[in-house]
Amino acid sequence: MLHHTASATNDTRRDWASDRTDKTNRLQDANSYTDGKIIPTENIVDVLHAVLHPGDRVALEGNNQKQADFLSRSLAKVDPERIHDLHMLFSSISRPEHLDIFEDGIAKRVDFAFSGPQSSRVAQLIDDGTLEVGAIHTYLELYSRMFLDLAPKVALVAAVSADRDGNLYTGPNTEDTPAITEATAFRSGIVVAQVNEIVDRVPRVDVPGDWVDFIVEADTPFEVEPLFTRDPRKLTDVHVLLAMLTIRGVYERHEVTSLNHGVGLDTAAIELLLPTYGEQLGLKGKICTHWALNPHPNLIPAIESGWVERISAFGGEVGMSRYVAARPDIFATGPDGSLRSNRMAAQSAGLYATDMFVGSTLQVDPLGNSSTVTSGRLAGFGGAPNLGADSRGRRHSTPAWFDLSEGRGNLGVERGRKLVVQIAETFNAGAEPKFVEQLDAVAVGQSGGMPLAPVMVYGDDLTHLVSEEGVGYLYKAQSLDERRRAVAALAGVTPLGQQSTPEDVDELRRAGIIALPEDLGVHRAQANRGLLAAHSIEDLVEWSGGLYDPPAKFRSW
Amino acid sequence: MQTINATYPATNQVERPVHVGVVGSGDLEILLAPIESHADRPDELKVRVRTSVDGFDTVWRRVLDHFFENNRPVCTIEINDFGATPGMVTLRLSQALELATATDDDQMVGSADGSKSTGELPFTEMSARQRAASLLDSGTFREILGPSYHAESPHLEPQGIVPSSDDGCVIARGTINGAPAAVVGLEGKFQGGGIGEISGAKIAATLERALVDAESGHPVRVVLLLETGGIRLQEANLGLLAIAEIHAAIVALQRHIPVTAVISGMVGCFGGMGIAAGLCDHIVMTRAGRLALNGPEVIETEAGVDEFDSTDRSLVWAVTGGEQRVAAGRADVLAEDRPEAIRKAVIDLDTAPFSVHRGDRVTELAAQLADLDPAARPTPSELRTIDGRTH
Repeated sequence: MLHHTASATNDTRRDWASDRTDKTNRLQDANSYTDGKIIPTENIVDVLHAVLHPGDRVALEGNNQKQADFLSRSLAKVDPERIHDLHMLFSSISRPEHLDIFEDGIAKRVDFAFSGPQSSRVAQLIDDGTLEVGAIHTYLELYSRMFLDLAPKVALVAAVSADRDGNLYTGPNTEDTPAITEATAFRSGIVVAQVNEIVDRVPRVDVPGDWVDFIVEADTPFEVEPLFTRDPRKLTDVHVLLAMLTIRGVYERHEVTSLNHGVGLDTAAIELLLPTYGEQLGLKGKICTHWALNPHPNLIPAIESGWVERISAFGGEVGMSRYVAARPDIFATGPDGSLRSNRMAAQSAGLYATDMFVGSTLQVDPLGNSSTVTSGRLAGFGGAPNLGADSRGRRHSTPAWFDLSEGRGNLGVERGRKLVVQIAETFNAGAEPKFVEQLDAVAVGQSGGMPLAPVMVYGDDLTHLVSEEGVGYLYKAQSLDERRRAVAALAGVTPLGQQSTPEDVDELRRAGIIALPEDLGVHRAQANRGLLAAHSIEDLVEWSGGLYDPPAKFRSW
Repeated sequence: MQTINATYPATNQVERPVHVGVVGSGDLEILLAPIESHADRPDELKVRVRTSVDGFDTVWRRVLDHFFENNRPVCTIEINDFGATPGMVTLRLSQALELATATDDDQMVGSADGSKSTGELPFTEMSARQRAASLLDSGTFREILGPSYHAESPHLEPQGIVPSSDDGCVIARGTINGAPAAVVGLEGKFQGGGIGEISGAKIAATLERALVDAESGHPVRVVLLLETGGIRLQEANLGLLAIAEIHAAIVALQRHIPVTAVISGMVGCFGGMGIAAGLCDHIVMTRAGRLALNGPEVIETEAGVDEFDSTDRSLVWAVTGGEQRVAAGRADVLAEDRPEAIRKAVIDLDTAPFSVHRGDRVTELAAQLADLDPAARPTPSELRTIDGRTH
């Protein structure tokens, strides 16, 4: 014992503050290019050369909405001789330069959550060996790792404005900034924030200035993508049918009050059916009162009709700021009046405080595993795997959650279950089956050398599956065989569906494991766009009383 | 394209012929017609599918087998498909069958003339047939050369394109506010509303027939519901000829009674039909409607993105949209995108013949353009003042 202590103090004189020392040195190197915390715009590349070292782990803010695009463009300009082999942490690989830096050798490895717009190129670069993927995470998982084993050495983030002390105002698009900044700042990392403008006083402090090392005025305001805006004109009668089936077969059946919706057209149709079809069914106040959701423009009619009590937002949405600011009872707003979003908090709400996730998928297999990763497209998932999963840590009960209880079970205790619902029309618009024997994700995972196939929602988390054929209550299936037959019964005329027999269907209906439209009181022939509460973006503007300002690309006037 | 035929033994009688859907992206048209039973042959269900997508015969046969597993109406069913998913096909078949078998007391989801279930829909949401019906006095809609006449283009199928049973053009007679009227509705979802030999002939013949009626002392109001990019490229020469006939017929008819063009969107009205609209004494537009000679994409292709960025929707509508066209005096009435509002706008128009038509003012209009320096890139608000008025 004595010997051990002696060796620890004498032989290995450990520096317990090496990270802090390293940070001090790097800040010193940047000193000549900065004016206190302020980096003159034209000096940004010099500062990056000073604060970055080869092999650093770098968090670059960019999610499915806002992008620190001035900083990503600047990072792409550094000298690969000096700065190379960076390990990038991205919420979303969205912009071309996010991948240019790999082609130029500035970066080598990536851990990310979503790569929608760049999904084909990501798949290509992995194939070439240009890009090494650590893992495709869910958002909450990636931020959580930033707090433990993936702490960033440098964080490059975006805000609306900053004061000279570095206090950041992120406005409606707070999103990932507090999480990334905190994970970096308190691990002796360096935080660089691009801002649209430097002001004397920020409207509110979203990130305290002492977490921020540098601020730089960007050449253009940060890019924001209106990802959650879906033009109602794109909804077809089939989307309406799927929405009617889901409302009757799932929302009404289990009286679901708290939920999250994905970004697809199927859930957009549900949002627009609440004030019409939902109202006719007498469901107002009984379902859909609490949401973990971005400010979806398509939810405006439901909000205006009094369906919605509270929304917790992951991020903002372009054009929704005035509307949100005018509805503070519904949305979280700061003292300045504008939305406060927080992706990490809303993802937690989606995991622990909602009873249901409803999303769309591109492929589903016979056991209900589903993924949006298909051949040649490594899209990642963003929040879906987190929101689309049962939380086994949950300990509060609600009627919908408890409705899925399977009794006392082997261990003699009863627990409820989150409803995880996937909507999949049997074929996509290109006439390819969405119901498949094996997910493309399996082959993509193998060819990319990934230890895990990129499955979005695991089959054992999936409780309900909806196709135009009907609703599957997969949580009721007593065996894998029964589950397989239920999925096949919903698979229509796909090859998988051909395995289903009329006898199967009858038996599954009797057991309550599937319900056809007629079992749910849904008439196929009545599914038409006329049921939608809004038919166009212009209608949404009208519902909002002129408070919604749609981006130009959605305007037809 | 591909044609698929299927025959099934059938059991259930149907009440009436039905037409649903449109030959447009992701959608399909279904024509269902009852077959009379004969003692000497078994009842049958005959299906013919023409589809724009090749190689899916197995899927189609499964869809039909699946749908007709338990319900086999005694009828012929013709399907003209433009890439609909099996889900959409099944939905449209359900709608067709429900309409074909419903008794008169049943609440229908949308009858063939579109006279029901369109209550809350914006005008731009409606099909050409529904639009025409909504404009006419209730119960007076009578279609001429409707889908069951199969007046389809003979030129599309040889070029591998699925035709539409009405060639994307609806001709309806009826009354507007009690006065005899003929309405021409172009279906923008079918081939972008392009004018082919048949659709062009239907429009020209409607105008020419109205001229005969007017000359014999029975003037008929003609209203053109225009949703068209102009000539259908696959029938270019025939389309050109038809449009020339349409222009001449509008000019001739307007000696007796004004012709009205309604441009509501979403396609807009361009090319030779943009000229046709320009010849009309009355042009009614919605904010979503666009009117121009060359479409935005054409201008960008010909003159470059610096001249006109067709993806800049604000710019496109600021130059060609209904609000701008009415403010600049190039169109006459701006109406809301509701069927009642469009109908009221049409009813309120003057039906007495004009002494001077837009086409007679060519010199004056050309002089206004001559004053304009195109190199100076006039702004949309400057364009509003070139006719000398201030707005």
